[in-house]
Amino acid sequence: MKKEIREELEKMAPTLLEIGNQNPYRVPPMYFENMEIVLNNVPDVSQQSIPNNYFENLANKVVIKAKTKKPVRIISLHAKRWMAAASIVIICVASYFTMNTNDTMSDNQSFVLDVEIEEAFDYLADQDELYFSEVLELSDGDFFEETEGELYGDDIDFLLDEVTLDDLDELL
Amino acid sequence: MKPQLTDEQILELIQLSRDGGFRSLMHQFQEPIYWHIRRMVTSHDDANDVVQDTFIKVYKNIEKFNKDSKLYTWIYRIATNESLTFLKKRKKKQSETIDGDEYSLENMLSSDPYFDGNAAELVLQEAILLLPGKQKAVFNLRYYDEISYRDMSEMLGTSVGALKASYHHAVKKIEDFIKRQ
Repeated sequence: MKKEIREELEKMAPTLLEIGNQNPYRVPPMYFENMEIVLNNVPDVSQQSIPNNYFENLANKVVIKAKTKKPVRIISLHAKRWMAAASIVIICVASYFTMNTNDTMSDNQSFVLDVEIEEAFDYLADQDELYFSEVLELSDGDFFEETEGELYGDDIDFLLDEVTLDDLDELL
Repeated sequence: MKPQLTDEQILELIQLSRDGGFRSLMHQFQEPIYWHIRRMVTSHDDANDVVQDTFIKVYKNIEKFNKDSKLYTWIYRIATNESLTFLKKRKKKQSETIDGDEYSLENMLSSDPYFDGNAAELVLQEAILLLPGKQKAVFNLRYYDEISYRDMSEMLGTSVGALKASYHHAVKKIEDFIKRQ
């Protein structure tokens, strides 16, 4: 054992130093002598052999294969891009609606969507929610009658056209 | 005693004849590399596989060898990496085995027909087997191969300070393990 290693161990590990660093292992007989066999297992790319006339026949094989191949429909790159873009848009829209329906609507909300509007009115009427059904049955004219004394839409336009600022000054 | 060739001579021989030069390289390094790997993986059969993988890598990559470093540190580095990879695979396999007995430390050493150590050496080997992979490499390279920290730093790509600390930790662990037996 080297002096410096021994000195290191004397301080740190005296028991280990006592055991020493002799090799406790051994190898089968003639192991190292036969180790060169490893070399024979290494595939050397530069010396790998190929069948005779391989390159001479390669071109013929490729041509024959090319001729016998089924005709392929060629889609231009431009068309492919449009198809890809359209697919992405369709997927996005479908995902948006699916997610909205599934994630943001409660069960009650999705149920209401399936109910006809008349059925909803009937339901509200049955529940004594008469206010809503009555209001929804009123005509536009009824609304104006109900709001007598107040000005709405056409009335305001009329007054603005017909009454000048001078008239207003007089009124005030 | 084998005649020692310099790195330049070995590389020159490889340039002249790849196979012939490689044989010279193997003659020079096969034994120290085998023992380094053997101490890492313990069993002869495993060591034999890892040695072959190591030299196949050396053979295939010899053109990539950077002549600024020493040839032996480069080969040791490959051997260490191959050993660590092997140990990782074995550990994974061991964890997948139901009882893990097949790869237990006791089994590995007691059933090894090529282990000649006495009782104290057996305890020492058991202690080394418990070390983490890289710490085991550092301990073996220093304790058995007596390699300088500087060369080890080149081999393992770790600073000398970190290697000293790692060796110190390993020695302390082993000393404690031996004392407990």
